Amino acid sequence: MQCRDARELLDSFIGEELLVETNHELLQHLATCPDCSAELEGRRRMRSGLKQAFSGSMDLQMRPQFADELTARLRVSTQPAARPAWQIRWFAIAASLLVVVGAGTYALRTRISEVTHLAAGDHQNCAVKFALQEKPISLKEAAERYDTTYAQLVTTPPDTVRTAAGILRIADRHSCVFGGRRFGHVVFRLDDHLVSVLVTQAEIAGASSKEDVRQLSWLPRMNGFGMASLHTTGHVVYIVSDLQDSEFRVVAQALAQPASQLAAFRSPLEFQHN
Amino acid sequence: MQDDSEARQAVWAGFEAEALPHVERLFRMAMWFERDRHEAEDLVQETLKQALESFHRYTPGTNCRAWLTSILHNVRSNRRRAKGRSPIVSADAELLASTVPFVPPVPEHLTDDDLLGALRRIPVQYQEVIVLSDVEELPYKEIAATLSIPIGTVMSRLHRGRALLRQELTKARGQVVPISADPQRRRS
Repeated sequence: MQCRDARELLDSFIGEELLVETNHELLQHLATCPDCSAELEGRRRMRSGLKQAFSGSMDLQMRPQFADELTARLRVSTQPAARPAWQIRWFAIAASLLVVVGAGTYALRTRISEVTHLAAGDHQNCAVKFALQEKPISLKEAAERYDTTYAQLVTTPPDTVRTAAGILRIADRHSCVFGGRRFGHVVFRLDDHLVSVLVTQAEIAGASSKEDVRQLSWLPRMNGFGMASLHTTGHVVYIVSDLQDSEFRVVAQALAQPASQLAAFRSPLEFQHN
Repeated sequence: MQDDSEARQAVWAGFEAEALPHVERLFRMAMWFERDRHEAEDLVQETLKQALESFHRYTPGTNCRAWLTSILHNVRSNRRRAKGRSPIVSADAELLASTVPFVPPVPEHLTDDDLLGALRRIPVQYQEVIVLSDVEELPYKEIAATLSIPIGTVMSRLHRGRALLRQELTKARGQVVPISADPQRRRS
C-alpha cells in the first residue's frame, strides 16, 4: 500500500468503516511508515479534540431547567385534550400563575418526578387549558368516595391568604383527575395570576410514605412554573406558579403554613386498618 | 378508555427511557447550528414532539440517537425552507472545497477555542458531516440517512471538510506550511 492510498483510508479506519482485509493492509503499512502513523495520530487528536470541545463548551450547554420543562411539556402532550362545557367557568381565571400542592413521598426520585409532572399537567390542563377528560367533583364527594383528606380542603387554606406579594383570593375548590391520578385542587387568584394547590396521595404505600416532613422543598421550574412541595403522612402537597422566583417563594411559603396544618391527612387504607 | 390510557403510558415509558437521555446532546447540536438559545430549544422541542408522535416507528435496540438526529435535521431543514433561506449546500462552497491546495499537518497543541473557531469558519455542509461523524460518532450509513445524501457524498464531504478544517487551524495558529512540507504532496 502506498502512502497516498493509506491517507485516503485513514478517516474510514478511525471510524471503523473499513473492510477487514483493507484494515489489515492499512495496519501493515502503518507499522512501517512513521509519517502515516503521525498523520493518523493527528487526525485522531483532531477528532477527539472536537468531541471534547463540543461537550465542554459552555455556549452549547442547555439550561439546567430545560430538560424538566421539556419533559413536562411532552408528557402533557400525551394526555388527551377535551374541553367540556363545565370548564367554561375556568376561562375567567385562566392566567399565568400556577400553584400546585400535592401529596406524595420522596422515597424515589423518579417516582416523585412522575407525580410532579402529573401535578404540573393537572394545573395546565385543569386551571389553564380546561382540558381535563373527566369532570371535577366536589371535595365533599371526593372525601366520601376516595379520601377523607379532601374534606379538609373545603376550608384549608382559607379563602383569603395575605402575602407580601399580594392577597390570594379563592377561585375554586374541587377534586380532579389527571393522568389517572386524583388531586384535591384549590385554586387562588392573585391579580392576573392563578395559584393552584393540589393534594394527592403518596406515590408509594409503605414506610417511606409515612414520613411527615412538613418543610417546603423547592423543585426545578417546570413549563416555566416555579414549583414547591411538602409532604405529610401519606400525602404530598405541591405549589406551582409562573410568578418570578422571589414572588413565588413568598406565595408558596404563605400557602405552605396552612397546608402543613392538615394534620389529619389519612388515606382510606389507614382508616380501614384502624 | 382504560386500554387507551395504558397504551399511552407504555409509549411514554418507552420514550422516556430511550429518547429523553439524548436531550443534552441534541441540544448541543441544535445550539451549534442555530446559534440562538431560543431557536435551539424550540428545535429540540419540536424534534422530540415529532419523535414522540412517531415513536411507534422506532425499533427498540436500534440507534435512538441517530433516529432523533435524523428528525432534528429534517425539522431544521423544513424550517429553513419555510423561512425561504438559501440551501445549506452552495455551489461556491463545493467549489471552494474542491480547490483545497494542500492538507497541512494537524497542529500539535489544539485548544477547544481553536477547534470550534476553525469549525465555525468552514462551510456549513462540511460542519454537518464533521459534527455527525466526529462529535456524534454516527457511522457513514447513519449520516447519509440523516442528511438524505449518498454515502459517497458523506465520505467526500468528510474528506474535504477535514482538509478545510486543518487549513483553518493552521491559519489560526499563524503557521505557514510550505507545499513541500505537505506529506501528501511529497509522497503522491
